[in-house]
Amino acid sequence: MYSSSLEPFPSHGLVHISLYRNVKNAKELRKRLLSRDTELCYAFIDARVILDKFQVLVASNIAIYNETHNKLITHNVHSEVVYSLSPSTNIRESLKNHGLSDDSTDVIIVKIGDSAETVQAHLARIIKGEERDVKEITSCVDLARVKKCYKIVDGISDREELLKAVIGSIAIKNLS
Amino acid sequence: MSKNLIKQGAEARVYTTPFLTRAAIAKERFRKTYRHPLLDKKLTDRRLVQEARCLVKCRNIGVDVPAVYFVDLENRTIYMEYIEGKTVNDLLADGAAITTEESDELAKKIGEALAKMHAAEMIHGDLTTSNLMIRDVNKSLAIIDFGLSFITSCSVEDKAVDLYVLEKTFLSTHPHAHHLFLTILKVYGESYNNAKSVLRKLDEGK
Repeated sequence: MYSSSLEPFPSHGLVHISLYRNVKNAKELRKRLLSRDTELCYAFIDARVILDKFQVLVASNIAIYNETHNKLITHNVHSEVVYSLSPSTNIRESLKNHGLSDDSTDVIIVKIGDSAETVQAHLARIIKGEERDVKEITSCVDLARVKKCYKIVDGISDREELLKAVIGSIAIKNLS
Repeated sequence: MSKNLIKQGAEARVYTTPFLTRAAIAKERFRKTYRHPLLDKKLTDRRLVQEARCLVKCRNIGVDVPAVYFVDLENRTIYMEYIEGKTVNDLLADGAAITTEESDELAKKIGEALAKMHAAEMIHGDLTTSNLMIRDVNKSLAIIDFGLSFITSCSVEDKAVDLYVLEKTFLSTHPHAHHLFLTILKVYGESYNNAKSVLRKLDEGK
C-alpha cells in the first residue's frame, strides 16, 4: 500500500492507494457499493484504465479539492475519486468505465483519511484477492481501453506521453 | 509545502513545487485589487481555464507543452509539469556555441511546432525565445507560458501577430541569428496549408 498526504492539502490527512490482483469477489463488492453499504467507504477502481499511480493521485487531489470547496458532484469524496478519473461529466458513465465491474480482477482501492494499518487490515478482510505492491499498477493496464476511454489520438504511443494526455483531460474536465 | 519562487511576472508568480510525487510548476495569478472582486474572480477564472485548455489541446495535437496537472481556481493557480531544459533565448545568447547544423535543426522544430499550433487555431500570445525550450531528455521543442493564449476563429491577423512578436524578439535580442528566424518562416510556410496568407499579413505589417 502507498500512503501519502497531498501537497495542496497538507493538513487533510493521508491518501492510501492499494492494489489487489486476482480479485474473486468484485461482483459482491459492486452489489454492496450499489446498496450504499457504509462499510465500503473506499474508491474502487478498475485497474485496466489506470496507467500509473500518479493518475490516481491526481484524481484523489481533485476529489479532496471538490470536497474542501463544497463542490462535490457525487455523493462523497470516494465516489468523487472515481468520477474525477473519468473524462466524462456523466456520473453513471464515469462509474461504469472507471469503477468496479462484475468482471474486474485487478482493483485499485483509494481511501482518504484513516491510518494505513486500519485501512490495510480492513481491506484484507473485505477483498478476496492478493494485495500487491502498488508499483504493479503499471502492468495491470489495458492500453487500448485507456486510449478509447480518454479519446487519445493514434499518434501517441509512449507511456509517459499517454499519461500526460490522460492527466490533462482529467485536469480540465470540470472547468466551465 | 516547499515552494520556490522562480519568476515574478506581470500577471503571475511562478514557483517550483513538489506535486503528488512529481516536480511541478505552480503558476499563481495575482489578485487585482483595483478591480471589483467579483469581476476579478470572473476574469481570472476565464484566463486560467483558457490557459489550461490551450495547453491540453496543444498536447493532444502533438505540440510539446507542459502537461497540466491541476487547475485550482480557488487559489488562482495552475499546476503543471516542470520541464528540465534550456530556453532558446539561452541557447542563442551571446557566446553560446551553436553550430549552423544545430541552429537549422532548432529553426525546423520551431517552425513545425508553430505550424501545428496555428493549424489548430491556437494563438500563443507571447511568442518570445524565452518561452521556447529544448528538453534535456529528448531535445524536443516545448512551448511554454500560455498565459496569454487563446483559440481563434481562423484569424490570419492573430497568427501574423504571433510571428511578429517572435521576429521582434529575434531583432532585438538575437540580431546575429536573424537567418534562424527566416528558416523558421520557411519551415512554417512548408508545414502549414494556410501559411501563405499569414506570411503575407506579416509582410504587410512591416
